[in-house]
Amino acid sequence: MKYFRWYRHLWSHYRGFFLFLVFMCLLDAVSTVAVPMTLKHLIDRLQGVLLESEVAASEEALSLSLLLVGVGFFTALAHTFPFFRAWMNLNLEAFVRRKWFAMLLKKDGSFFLRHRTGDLITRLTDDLSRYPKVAWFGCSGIFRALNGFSIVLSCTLAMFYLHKGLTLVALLPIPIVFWAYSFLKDRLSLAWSENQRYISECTNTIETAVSGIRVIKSVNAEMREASHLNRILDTRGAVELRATKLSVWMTLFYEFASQAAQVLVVAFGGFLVISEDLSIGGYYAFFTCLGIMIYPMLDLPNLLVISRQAFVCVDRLEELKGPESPVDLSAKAPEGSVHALGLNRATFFYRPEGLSGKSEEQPAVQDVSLEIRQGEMLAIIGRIGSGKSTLLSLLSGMQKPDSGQLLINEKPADEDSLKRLHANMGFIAQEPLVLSGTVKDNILFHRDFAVSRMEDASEEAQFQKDVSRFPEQFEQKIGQRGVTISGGQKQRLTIARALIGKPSILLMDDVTASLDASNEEGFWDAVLKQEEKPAMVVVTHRQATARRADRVLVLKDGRVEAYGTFDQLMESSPDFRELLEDEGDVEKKDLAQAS
Amino acid sequence: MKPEKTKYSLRDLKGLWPYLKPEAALLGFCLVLMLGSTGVQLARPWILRLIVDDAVPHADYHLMGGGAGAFLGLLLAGIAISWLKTLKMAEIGIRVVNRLKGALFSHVLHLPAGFFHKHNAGWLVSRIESDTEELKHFCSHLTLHMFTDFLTFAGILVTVYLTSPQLAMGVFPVVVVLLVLIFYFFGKIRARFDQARTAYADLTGFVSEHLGAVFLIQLYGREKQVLNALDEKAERRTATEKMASLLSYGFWSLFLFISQGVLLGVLIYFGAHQVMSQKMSLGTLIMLVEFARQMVGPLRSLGENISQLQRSSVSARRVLGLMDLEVEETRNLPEAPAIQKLQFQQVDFAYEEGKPVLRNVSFTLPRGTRMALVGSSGGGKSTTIQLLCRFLNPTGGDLLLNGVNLGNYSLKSWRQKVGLVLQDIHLFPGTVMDNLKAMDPEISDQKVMESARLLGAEDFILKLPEGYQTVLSERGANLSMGQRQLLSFVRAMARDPELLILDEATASMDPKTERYLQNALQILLHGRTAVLIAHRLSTVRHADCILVIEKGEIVERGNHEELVEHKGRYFELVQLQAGKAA
Repeated sequence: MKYFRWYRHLWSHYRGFFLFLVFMCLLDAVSTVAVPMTLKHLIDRLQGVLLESEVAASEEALSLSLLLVGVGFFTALAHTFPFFRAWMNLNLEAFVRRKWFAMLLKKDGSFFLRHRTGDLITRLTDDLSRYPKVAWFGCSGIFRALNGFSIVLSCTLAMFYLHKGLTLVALLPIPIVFWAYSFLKDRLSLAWSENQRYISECTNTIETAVSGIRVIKSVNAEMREASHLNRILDTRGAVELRATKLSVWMTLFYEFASQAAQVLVVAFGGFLVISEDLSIGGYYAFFTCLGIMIYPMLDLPNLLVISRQAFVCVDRLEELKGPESPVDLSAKAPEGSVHALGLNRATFFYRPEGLSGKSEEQPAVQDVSLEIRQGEMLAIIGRIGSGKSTLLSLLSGMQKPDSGQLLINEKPADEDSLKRLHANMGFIAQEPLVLSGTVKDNILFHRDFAVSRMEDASEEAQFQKDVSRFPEQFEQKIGQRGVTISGGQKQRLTIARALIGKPSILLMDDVTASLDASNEEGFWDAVLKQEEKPAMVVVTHRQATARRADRVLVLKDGRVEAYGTFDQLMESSPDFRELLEDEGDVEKKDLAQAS
Repeated sequence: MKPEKTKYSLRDLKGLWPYLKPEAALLGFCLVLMLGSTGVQLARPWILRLIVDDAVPHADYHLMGGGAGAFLGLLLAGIAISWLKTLKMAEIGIRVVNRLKGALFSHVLHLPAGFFHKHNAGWLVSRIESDTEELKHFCSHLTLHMFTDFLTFAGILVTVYLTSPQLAMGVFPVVVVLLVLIFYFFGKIRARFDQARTAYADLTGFVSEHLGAVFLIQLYGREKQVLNALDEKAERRTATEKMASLLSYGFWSLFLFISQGVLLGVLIYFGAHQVMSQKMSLGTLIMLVEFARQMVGPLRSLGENISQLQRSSVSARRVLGLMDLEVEETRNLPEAPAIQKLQFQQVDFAYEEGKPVLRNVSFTLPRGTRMALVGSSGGGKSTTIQLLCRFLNPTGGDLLLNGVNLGNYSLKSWRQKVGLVLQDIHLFPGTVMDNLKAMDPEISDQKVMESARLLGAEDFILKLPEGYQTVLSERGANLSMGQRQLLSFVRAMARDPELLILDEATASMDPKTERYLQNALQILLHGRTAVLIAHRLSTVRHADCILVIEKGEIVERGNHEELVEHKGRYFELVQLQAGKAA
């Protein structure tokens, strides 16, 4: 029933098409049953001719054969039906994919920690478009069933018309089918959903292996990866075979039931003909009708069986529903600026799927309060794993604190102000995230900016030099995850992407780590010379960078260990002193030596 | 992505034979079963004729009962056969496809690293998973069905001819038209399906990449624009697939009109004349009509299977096309000896002709020395490292190991000696321990833990909920970048490499951790050769030799003191870093 509602909702967007398909169903049913009825008429006529021993006119034969050709024409017309079904499958597929894709776009970071990307991809591609899953079942499945049902019905009616008693005999074995179905259906559903899980696991394995190919090659793990997949494939094969076996049993029951009917008809019908209760034409038409019914009848429970596969996929889609930021995708970004950003006693736990229950013990960020205003710069310093990146993603609004608040313009963040924040924010992640496509696609990232602005942003990001070296300049394709450009280039590309919108809030996660000295110099010059300096939060390990900041926050195990200006902390915080490297001193010594 | 070739033939499918071969005996058995079911099917109309011509006119109840009995027997036999063959054929399909999938995956992993620059993960997943699945049907049902369908079809034609040669003359032309139709449309439709599949792969690639970048999309509020781009891809997919279906189903309607309408019309026209002139019994005509109707089934499924065959050949072409690509190493080469001396001799490298990335790079690296590469980003440092790992092959010049061309040694034995720590850390699904061992059973837990301890990674690993057995979420998203970098260090060191290559390997570590690591490396690197890239010059100053690479060429070389003395490009870099620290 749940699935009925699900599909009904889907179809509510395509009412006209639905009615048309229903009409095609009826046309097909009528034209199908017309063939045996015409044959009955013909055979009886011929027998009459034989019995009367008349020399029949050949017009009779001609008109009968023309009648058959006419019926054939309608049959052919009705058989364009599958095309319309296929068309509608495609519509449904696109509709569902769009809807779910849009939904996933609203999920927050914790969702993506719980679901592997590979698995999400399967749900939005194979689960939707492969036979006999969501989209196929949504139209072809349903209408093939309806079509089958109407053919069965029209044949049954024709058989009733030919001989009532014989029809009852023919329909005798049907209950067996329904018993078999109810007996097997749950087992089948279980088996197919297990199969689905292994398919996802395979996709995942392939995806991660291909993405991490350099690591695999560097540790000679090609064969080990391959045998890992083979192990999964073995299990998957066994599971699939088990599911197939169940399906075969199901069809078997059905086939037996329907064909037993044929035997009954041959025997009883034969006796009826001998006792002249049924004409030979009627006998043949009856037999033919039953024969026509068999495939649709076989198809019906088969459709019920494979419907389980579609329903499993529907469930897998429904599973993805749940808390999501209620962003109205069509709305424009709200007007207004963001001049202050802060956290009020924010605490955050990671609860990814991979980490079992115990993960709650240690929050990644604990009880952190801070504030930053436009034109100010805050540096965050701490050892690895101390929560720096998490703090930044809380500030960006991508993760929501488990307790405490994100403050935008001194007020707790809400939907509107979050959107305003995002419209005014630049975020440069530690790990540059780039997509295949061109440099330009990646910098613009589906936004509209003038070419001159793109060039300026590249200049500010110290990326222009790289671009000028690419044979295709901004049109250079960079390959999957940007494999054809260097790590530093990727990083500078993402900096350009962040700067292009002239953000009033700029969050940077250890960006300068992959910039060389002259690049970094140029970058700061460009950012700091702007008329309206943004509010900046910078995660860094470098003394030089920390020195530029108005204030420095030292994180330790997710808590604020120290907070103040650089000089204050140099005096008061031993942790801070220890954390900062001595590179500058070393170089100065070298220079002294050299001169 | 390159447009794929659309010309291909059924010969593409021949390449599948090696994967089918182990199932030959079972396939043979299934063939026998299918012949059995064909026989069962062909026998039924004869019983009908017997009943109409003999049992009914003579009111022979005994014969009637016998006919019904024979019918029952045939049905039971048919069911038993169909059960067995469906099961066995599913078994074959699953086994063959898994064999193919495993082989393809393994083959792809062995392709040169350059291959992965050109093809994204979505594209490859679609090849390895979806295309092989498409072949499942081919490997199990398709071939056998087509064979028996053909047999049924031929059997019926022969029967019709033997029963009434005159009538057969009327029927044959129609059948010829049907056959010509099938083969004419065959070529048209397959090209369309190929287009449709390419459009689908494109769509899948888009979905997979953007699902991996949701964070970014949200950050810049690009939801609407990304959805529009998705719509565009989806529209193309719908349009191409729709066109292909239109052609294929339109063809079916025409086919049906001819086979159901015209064929039966012709049969009845000639048959009725013969019956009326008493040259043929009514039972025979009924039998022939029944045969003609039965012929539509095999013909139709032949045609359907041809379109399935098209799809299979599209998939086979893609799969086997990948299989044909040459793997990184095709020959059996001797194992690389212990490193005494590594040399780059006038090495050039270019991705594209005329656009060199490295020019005339030469250096010698004796065992146990530490060499650093510095210089502007994009200057060729990472390319040098990729050449060292043999991910790329030089387009000019030679890499020598102890004076012998490195290419003369087996790739595997060479990479066995190399420990690589990259800036892009890639962690695999699985536990921390799995990742650190890189699934290598030869590496012991002790060795891993020892390396982790020495490198200072044990602290945070033990703080994880399950320690070494903690399952990492996707690509280690539950760890910080610095932690992941540290893990990737442990992964490299646990393999006890002779040559350690570090590409910005400490960039994301805090100075304290890095200092700790540097000290640990002083001990760990003892007796090992190392090549490192770092932007922080404090990291490279202790190297025995520093190469400054700019625009693909070595512009300076020497140790730290010499280079500072020399007051060249390196000195400039040192000044820059000192300056900003001041």
